Order: sequence, then structure tokens, then C-alpha cells
Amino acid sequence: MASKFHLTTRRGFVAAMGFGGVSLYALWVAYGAAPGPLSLLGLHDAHGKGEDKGTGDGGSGHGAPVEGPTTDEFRQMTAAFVERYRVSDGVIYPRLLPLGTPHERMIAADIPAEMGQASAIAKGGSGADRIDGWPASDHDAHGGHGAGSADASQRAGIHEDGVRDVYLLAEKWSYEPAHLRLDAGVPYRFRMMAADVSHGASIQFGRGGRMIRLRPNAETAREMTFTKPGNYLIYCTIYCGEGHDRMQARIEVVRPGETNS
Amino acid sequence: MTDSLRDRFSALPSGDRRLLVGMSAAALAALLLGIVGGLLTALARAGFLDVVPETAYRFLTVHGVSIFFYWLYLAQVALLLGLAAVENRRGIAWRGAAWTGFLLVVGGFMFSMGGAHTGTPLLYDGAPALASEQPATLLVFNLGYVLLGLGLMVAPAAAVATLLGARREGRREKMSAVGFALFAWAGFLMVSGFAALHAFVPGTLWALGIGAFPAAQSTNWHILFHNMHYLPLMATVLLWYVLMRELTGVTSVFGERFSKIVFAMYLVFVPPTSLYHMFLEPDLPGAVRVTGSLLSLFVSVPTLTVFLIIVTSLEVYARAKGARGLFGWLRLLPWSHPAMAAAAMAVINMGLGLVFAFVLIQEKLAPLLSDTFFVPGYFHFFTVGTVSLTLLAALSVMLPALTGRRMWRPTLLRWTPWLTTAGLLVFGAAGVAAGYFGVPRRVIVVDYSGEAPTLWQALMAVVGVGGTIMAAALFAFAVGIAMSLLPRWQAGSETAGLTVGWGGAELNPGATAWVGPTSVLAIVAAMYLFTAVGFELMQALPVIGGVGGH
Repeated sequence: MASKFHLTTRRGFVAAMGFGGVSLYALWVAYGAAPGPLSLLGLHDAHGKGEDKGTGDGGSGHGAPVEGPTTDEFRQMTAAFVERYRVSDGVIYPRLLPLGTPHERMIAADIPAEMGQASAIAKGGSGADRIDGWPASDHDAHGGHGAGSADASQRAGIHEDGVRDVYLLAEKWSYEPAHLRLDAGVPYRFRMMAADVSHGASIQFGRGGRMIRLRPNAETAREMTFTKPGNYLIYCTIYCGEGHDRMQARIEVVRPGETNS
Repeated sequence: MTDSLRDRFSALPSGDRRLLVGMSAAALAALLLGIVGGLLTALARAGFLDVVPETAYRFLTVHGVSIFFYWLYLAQVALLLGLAAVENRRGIAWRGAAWTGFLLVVGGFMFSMGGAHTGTPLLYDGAPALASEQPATLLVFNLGYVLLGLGLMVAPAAAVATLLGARREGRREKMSAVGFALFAWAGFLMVSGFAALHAFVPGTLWALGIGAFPAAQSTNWHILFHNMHYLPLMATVLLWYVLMRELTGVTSVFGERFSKIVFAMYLVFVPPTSLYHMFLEPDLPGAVRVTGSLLSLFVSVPTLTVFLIIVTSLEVYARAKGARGLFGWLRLLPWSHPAMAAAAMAVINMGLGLVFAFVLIQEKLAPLLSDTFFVPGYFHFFTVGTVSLTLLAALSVMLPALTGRRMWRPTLLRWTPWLTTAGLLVFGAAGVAAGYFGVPRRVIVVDYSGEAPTLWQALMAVVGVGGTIMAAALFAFAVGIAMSLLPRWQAGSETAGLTVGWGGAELNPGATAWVGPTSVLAIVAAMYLFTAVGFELMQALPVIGGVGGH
């Protein structure tokens, strides 16, 4: 086109307009959902905390399949998890367990103060909020922390940073466990595996959800902190055969200390 | 090259015309079967049809396989060969290869339908794990795609030979923009054929007992799937380019070379954008997800640019014919031709599809919406509203010319694309909303023993209503076009009043063409709006974390 033609009929203008969709990058950066231009150029680490804050990722982002157990091992770990945390109404409630035997209670009472923060709180029975951010109610309800074998027993599946392990096994056409009770505000590490074919372990939150795919015989881990109490549906979002429609489980999120289970 | 496309199709050797008619008929049969499968699936999901889920999954398998594979590919091969033949002006070279490819695809269709009706329904991706105890089912199903892949490698080779024939014989010094795009299209089809073999041969060998279990099929499927997404889109914009020249006489005001560059952009921009299909894969590293997301921003560049070339050219020529006002020129377009209505609706649906697709290519938003009904909600704007309407538009021009018969009731047919789009708008709006509320795709009964929100079933009912309108209108359009294949339909070639001739108009220096850029701005603004809605939704979730991949 000769220059006498209007801007809108020039090749350069049309070519530039064709890149219109690329401008969406600005919105992504504004929401912290993409690294900024300086970060892309390696000049500035802009894709750090801002991203997490902006997108609600929570930062940890553990999601890749991890080098982990075999399917049989995972099945055993799930069974142990279910056995350990089953409460009277049949729901699985991963939490700090009450000290079981008098011996365990005695060990807990004899913990030297210098053994650390957790021990101090176990003795005082207060200030539990200082332990890894765990809510006080956990400790009040369950008798505080122990140490040694009692502590190990209580803290099985609970990491030093306070993140609690949750196991979820998906196979045709059910989940184990089928009903979880979790505390709001507590970080959980979901360790999940599909035992036969690919499954989903997606969570529905009313508006929106968290879509999770599980590939067979590979452990997938996701770290999640539920911020509001409520009942949330877990459902399979990968077609897995004739019973796909009925593959579901439930997460019941409660305020810490809300239940006496 | 002043004679019309219709004249050039009519002048093809009878052997070529028989081949193209056969291919087109098979494509339309696959479309009609797929529409029925889709309609039954939508009715079952809506709760309007009481069938057990397994039966509904079989409907879904027939729907996906027939339309996504056989309708789209058979129609593309037919139109590619037809346009290559008229570009060459001496018909199809290597007609035997074209027939061989066609018969391979038809054979594949038979196997695929057999696979869809036996054993566990495998949907259209045929995950081998689902048939790990039914190797015979997987064998039949996979043989369909293997034959399709072989056919897609053979038949387009005939188009390549045809396109190169004119240059080899010294009848043409250089390829036209259309010839160049056809060449690229043929190449893409062959790549898709190879991708189909790559994805489905291992499972076939395993089913025959001579290979390992195809553990990597999921990744190989994604490669094929990406090709399946974007190849028809390139075909679509090329067909718009060809159809507008046929219906209005308008050629690009930007010149052939610029068009060639833009068509070549598909080769540059489409392959690197494939990663976004895999954002939910648990083993995809975080850095790859970020990179894939950023690259995906470029996926619309060639499509929007071709759109601008076409719309700007039409507007400039219409203004030369006296059109006034920003949108006044649109009234002068040949709306009485069904192909014009179909192409126009395709453009609008493409804009809507792009808007929602750009929400999904954001790697932080994908875990919110992938695997929900948001996906079928948005991609029907592409597969039905954009690609299928465009392919039907092109067939509505090609088939009457090949058979020498009149188009069946164009005054009636021209409304079917509008009605299809109306149904699609209902289907798509309810589907996108359903995805927003977490309704899963590929689930027939979504009440989950009463634990799912009641809104889910209501939205599926609306999807069913929209899907029914869309399916009925598209079915009518396809049947109307197929009528020109019937021997008893009246002969004739009268198209007067259905097209306009703006080609010889003297262009006005300084004429403005704002509709194209304004449309792009509107699309981009809508992309910003819906992406922001997605981000706000994500931030409002009562959970922190849970996004996969390091």
C-alpha cells in the first residue's frame, strides 16, 4: 500500500494489531501471574513472592510427582493413615493425637525445657500458637506435645514446618479415605496416587475449583491450606470408565477446635 | 485468474470431481453422525434422556471421534485437494494416491466406529489404560486412528504434487498466496498424520501382543491434539480468504507477499504454543509451565492478522462502492449466500473462542478451569462456530460446482449459520458458566449423590437446550449442502444475486477501514475482562496452594 493510504490500511498497522492478544501479558504481570519484563530479561527477580501473593498459590507449589512409594507401599501408607486418624464418626481427621498411654503422658511431662519450643509448650500447655503456627486448640484439646516416642507418635505425618500429611488413594471408582476432616488455616500436604488408571482428585469450592490430575502409580503431592470452613466435594475429573460419575469424596473443613472428635 | 472458483471446479476432470464428491460425502456423513452423537450426549447430561452413563459415554465417543477426527480431516482433505486442483488448473496430480489416502481414512472411520461400539467407551483420546484388560477393543479403536494417520500422510501428498505441478511444468513462475497456504496446509496435515501414528501405533502393537504397554501415550496424544486444534484454524482463515474472493471479487489490498508471510506465521507460532494443553499434568516442571504460558500468548497472532487482512480489504472495496458509516459497508456484503452468512458467523465465533481460550492459556488459571465444562463451553466456539461453519461454507460453494446442480434452497440455508450461532451462544454461555462453578467435563450425571450444587444440573439443562438448537441448525445446514449431491436434484449453475462483484472497483486513496482494528480491540478488551474475572475468582478461593508443578 502506498503511503497515501490511511493508517488502518497499512501493513505495519495490521501486523501490529495482530499482536493485540499478546498485550494480555500486562494483566498477567499486574496480577503477579507471570514474571515481569525485567525478570524475563534476567535483570530482576520479580517472579518471587509477589506472584504467590497475587495468585493465591501459597508459595510452596509442590505439585510434581515425587520419587515415592510403589502403589502397594502407598496403599499401606494410606491404610495406616486412615487407621491412625479415624475418629468416632468414621471420618478421617489428621491432627495431633492425644497421648495414649500413661507412659506416654509421663514422658511428655518429663520433657526438659531446653529440648525446645515444642517441649516448653507441652509443659506449659499454652502458647501453642508459637509451635509451627499450629492453632492453640489443637494442643488444648489433645493434651499438648510430647517428645521422644510420644512426640514421634503424635507427630507422625506432621513435618517440622507444621505441614501435615494427608493421604488420598484414587482407584476405580472411589477414594480412600472418602471423608476427610481438616482444620482451617492449617497447611496440609496432600499425597495422592491413582492406583489403576488416571483419575482426577479435583476439589470444588462453590465458585471455582482446584483441578488435580493423578497419573497411575505415581505419587502427586500438593500443599494446600483451607482458609474457610465448609464442605467441599472431591470428584474425579479424568474419565476413568463406567463408574466415573460416582467417584467422589468429601473434605469437611472446620475451625480448629470446633469438633471434639 | 479472473474466472470464478465455481467455473474452475466445474472444469475439473470427471475423475477428480468424483473423488472430491466422494470425500465430501464421507465428510458430511461423519459430521451428521457426530452431530447425532453430540446431541444425545447433551440430552443425557441435561437429564432429558434417561440412559445409563456407559451408553452416554458411547455417544460421547461417537461424537468426538466422528467430528474431531473424521469430519474435520475428511473435509479438510477434500477442500485442500479441490483448491489445489483448481490452483493447478489441470486437476489433481497423483489421483491414485489421493484415492488411496481417502480409502485409508474411510477404513479408519469404520474401525473407529467399531471401536466406539464395543468394550469400554474410550472417548476420543482412547487412553490405553482404560482398555488394559480389553486389548481387542483397543486394537480396533487404534487401528482406526492408524489408518487415518496413514491416509493423512498419503492424500495431502497428492495435493503437494498438484501444487508443484504448475511450476514443474513451467506454467507458473511462483506460487500465489493461496497456493503457498495450501502447500503449508498439506504439510500440516501430513504432520498430523504422523502424530496420529506416533500416538497410536504403540498401543496397536501392544494390543497385538508385540509391543510394550504404551505408557507415554498421554504425551504423544497432546502433540496430536495440539495439531488438531490449530491446523483447522489455519485452514479456516485460508478458506475465508478464498471465499471472500469468490463471493465479492475482493483480493487482499496488502498484496500476495504479505499474505504469504502471514500464512507462514502459522508455522512459526503454532508449534511452540502446545504446552498449555499440559498445564495440569503433574510432572510438568514449573518453568515449562511459565514458558508455555508466555509462548501461548502468540497463538492468536496469525489468525488475527489474516482476519484483519480480509476485513480491511472488504471494507476498503466496499467504501469504493459507496459504503458509508463505520458499519454501513457490512450491509453491502452478499448475505443471501449461505457461505457469506456462515463465514461471518465464523468470524464472530472465533472472536468469542479466542477470548475464552486466552483465559485458559494462563498457567495459573488452568488449574481452575481445565477439566471443567469451561473447556467444551469455549472450544465449541472454535470447532462448531468457526471451523465447521467455514468448512460447510466452502463445501456449499464447491459441491454444487462439482455436481453441476443448484444449491438447495439458499434462501433457507443462509439462516442456518445464524441459528447455529444462537444455539452456540446459549450452549457456550452456560458451559463457560458451568466451568466457572466447577462442573466437570466428561461426566454424564453431575449430582454426586446430592453433594454437588443444584446449580450444576440447571446449567447442564441450559447446555442441553443450546446444544439442541445448535445441533439441529448445523444438521440442517449440512443436509442442505448434501442435497446438491443427490442425482435427482435439479441441475443448473445460477448464482446470480448470491454474490457481488467488487473486484474491479477503483480504491479511494485515504479510505479508512476501522472495523477490523475496532474488532480486535473489542476482542482484546474482552480478553482482559474475562482473564481478570478468572484471577479474581482464583483469589477468592477458600484455599491457598494446590497448584501443581515445579
